[in-house]
Amino acid sequence: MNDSTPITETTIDERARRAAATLTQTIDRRSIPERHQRNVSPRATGVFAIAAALVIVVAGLVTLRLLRDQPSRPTDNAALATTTVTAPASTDAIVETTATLRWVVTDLPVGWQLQNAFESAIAPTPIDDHEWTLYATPQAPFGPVMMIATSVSDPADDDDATNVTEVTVDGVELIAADGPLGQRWVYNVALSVAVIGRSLDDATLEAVAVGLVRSNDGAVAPAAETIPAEMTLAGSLPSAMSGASFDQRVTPSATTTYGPVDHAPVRNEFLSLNITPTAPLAAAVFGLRSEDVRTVQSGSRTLFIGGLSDAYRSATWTADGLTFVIGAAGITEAELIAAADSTALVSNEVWAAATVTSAASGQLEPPATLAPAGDIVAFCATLPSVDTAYPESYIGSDAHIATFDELIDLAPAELQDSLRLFRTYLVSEVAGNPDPEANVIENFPADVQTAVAEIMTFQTQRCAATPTT
Amino acid sequence: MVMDTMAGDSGTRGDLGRAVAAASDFDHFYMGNYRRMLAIAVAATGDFADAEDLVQDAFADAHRKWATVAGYDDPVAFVCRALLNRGVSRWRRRAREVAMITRLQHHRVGISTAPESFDAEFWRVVAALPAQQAKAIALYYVADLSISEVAGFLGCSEGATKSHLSRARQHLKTALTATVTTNRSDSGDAT
Repeated sequence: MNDSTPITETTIDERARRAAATLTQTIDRRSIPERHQRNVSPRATGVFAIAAALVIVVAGLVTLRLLRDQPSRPTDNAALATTTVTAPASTDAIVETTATLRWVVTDLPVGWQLQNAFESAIAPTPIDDHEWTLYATPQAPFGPVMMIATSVSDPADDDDATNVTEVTVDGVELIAADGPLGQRWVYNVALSVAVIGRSLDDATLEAVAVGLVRSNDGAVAPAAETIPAEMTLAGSLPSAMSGASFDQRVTPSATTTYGPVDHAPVRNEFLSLNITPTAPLAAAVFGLRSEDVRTVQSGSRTLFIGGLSDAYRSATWTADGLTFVIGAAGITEAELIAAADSTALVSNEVWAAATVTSAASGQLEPPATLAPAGDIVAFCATLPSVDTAYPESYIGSDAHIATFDELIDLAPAELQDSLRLFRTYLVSEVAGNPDPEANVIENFPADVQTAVAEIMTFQTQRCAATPTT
Repeated sequence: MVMDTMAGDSGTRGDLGRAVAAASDFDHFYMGNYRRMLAIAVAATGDFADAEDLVQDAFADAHRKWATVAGYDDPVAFVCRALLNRGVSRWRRRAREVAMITRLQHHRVGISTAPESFDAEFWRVVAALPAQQAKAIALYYVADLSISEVAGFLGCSEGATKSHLSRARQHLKTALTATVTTNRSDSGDAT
């Protein structure tokens, strides 16, 4: 049925509710078919999270204290070159050894500071059927690298994929795309498996994708004859979820993140340092993630570095049985090398003094220089999260307006105008408006959106530093 | 969406008894939830045939892992997630196909396997939305979930969910307005 009701006589919200009701009634009249018995692939998830593999990025504002002038260690990259290895048979076998992982970057770009520290003694529980297998050559991170990622989604749905094309090879439906960091991606649609490669041509990747076989237990493996002769299995990364990101640690790790003091989420400027006991897959993962890998001798250190522009640079090296990986955006190659050269082990006492550690993670205390005082603490405590959802009936209610008035009383002078403008708009245009679009920030006038953005920015930058009470 | 009608294992059955009970539990689960899952799938794909395939695949996935899934607090949510995640690539390709058909045959309304009372035009436009927006519409309007619950399924914040819904409504308004205009123009041409 074509619902030809003029769009001007109703709202999309009403149309959607009516269409949903019609759909439900229609389906209720249909018989339920017999259940099919078929082998299927598991759930799909985005694949280019590999760009963030082995790195946990956490948000917030913290300070760098007492961390300079610590000794650096010489480099031993022989361990990084190890390629034919096997991931731990069980994550249960991983033991706590985080004390030696507490290194930080002390030479940062001007205006940058340490933002967060995070450490984990144990690996998270992997998701069923999420296992990403890497193949590499003995020259890794140089040379071709390939990853077979199960249970991932179509490149067409990945914002990082470009040049998406659909091809059929030997009757198998494939989707090919360019990855965000120069990788090439061939996706087997029927199996929901991606073959991601660097320095491998499409014909090779397509042959691997076409030759994939899913066994009865759901595991997917490539046909041996499709693997390029010089490549061998480097190992597998069991995949777990950490919030909305993949977490693929197979060893204990410590990560610190850095950024500009006036950090704004919209700017792509960050640096992260991740340290693990020498990770067997590090060379292959680095090779897959990094464009134009090359070596740089810097003092006693031989670094592998990658990246073609400030958009993303990376560096890795091994020393004292540890693998160091830096990923960064918005910095020059010289700044990247300086950061790598400046890594320093901090004592347990310094680390303990600077962190609040839970069972598996810790986060540094907020910086004293940004800590709010006085009424701002109360203001931040009263200011709701930007993600807080309210019932329609609450919007513009007396209770809602009372909260606004309280916020205005507590707010610093710099936020007074923004809060008053927002309050006025809320009362006059949002409260009682039957249009569900009315309370969506994106639909507010530009000046009100600007006011809301100022409030949110304050919350992100200042309230994040508010001591918990 | 908690499935509260599932029978628990008594703990006294033998292997065969447990297997039979598990099969019975799953059949009950399937019969009790098939229609709701189909509605969500149709809403997001705009096509009954595709939706039926997706739902079957999702339940097959749950069946394969039933020993684990049955112990979840909300097994239906598992199926729904499997449905949504598995559907992404197919929805997207379908959307491209639909867009092409729309360009070439804009007189044709409705989808071949759809019952007459099915508001195919609306759901066809929904299916052409970006995947997250289509999912948000399906979960919010058809599954009747709250913003918080939709956010959970989409794996994003409530603010982002509202944004997806808002953009979806704007796209729908634009697309449906254009369709109405086209239909009127076509009617004029015919008379």
